[in-house]
Amino acid sequence: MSHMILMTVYAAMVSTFFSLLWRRTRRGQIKLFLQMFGSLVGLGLALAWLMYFFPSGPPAPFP
Amino acid sequence: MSGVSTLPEEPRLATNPSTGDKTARISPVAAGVLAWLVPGLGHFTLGHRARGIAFFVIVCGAAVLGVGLEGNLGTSLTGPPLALLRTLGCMGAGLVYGTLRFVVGFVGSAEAPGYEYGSAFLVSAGLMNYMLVLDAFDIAMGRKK
Repeated sequence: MSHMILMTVYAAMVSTFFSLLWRRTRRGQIKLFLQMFGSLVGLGLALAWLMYFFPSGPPAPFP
Repeated sequence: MSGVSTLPEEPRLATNPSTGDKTARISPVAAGVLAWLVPGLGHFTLGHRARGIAFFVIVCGAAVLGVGLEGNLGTSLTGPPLALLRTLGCMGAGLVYGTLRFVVGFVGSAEAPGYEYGSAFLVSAGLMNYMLVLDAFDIAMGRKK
């Protein structure tokens, strides 16, 4: 599994959990899920791109 | 005279004297213990059956993913502080943790490619279940519906 897929699965799992825990109406649950999921994935992507400018080693060769 | 008993049916719910809300006839401590032992069981016992099943699927799914990725289950109670915190976090999964550690003998593999993510899934399963324990306790107390 790639990092992207695992990150998305983790975000979906956590968002589903908290939407069920903190909201009682279906509408509220869906809204909170979308907010949390979007935030988690969006922040993850933003941080990933930020780290692009600070590589830990030489760039990988083209395949 | 029919001799049929006319005892009133015992209500499934009791009235919380301080809030007036309806609560399940189960003590808050028992609800918390059940919630810790089996993810979602506390909510299921308190009448929130669909949510209890959903929580069970989510927490156990996270644990299964963590095992599949061979993450660190957290077995050290005497090591570095962060390792202790990880162990305490993973122990939140209750019988899931106990089964993985003492029945299956799973500990994870640092050489596995998904080790870091697996560790995150495993500790998240435990931490989520801690939150379920607190939520079940609050529902049984009548603070939440």
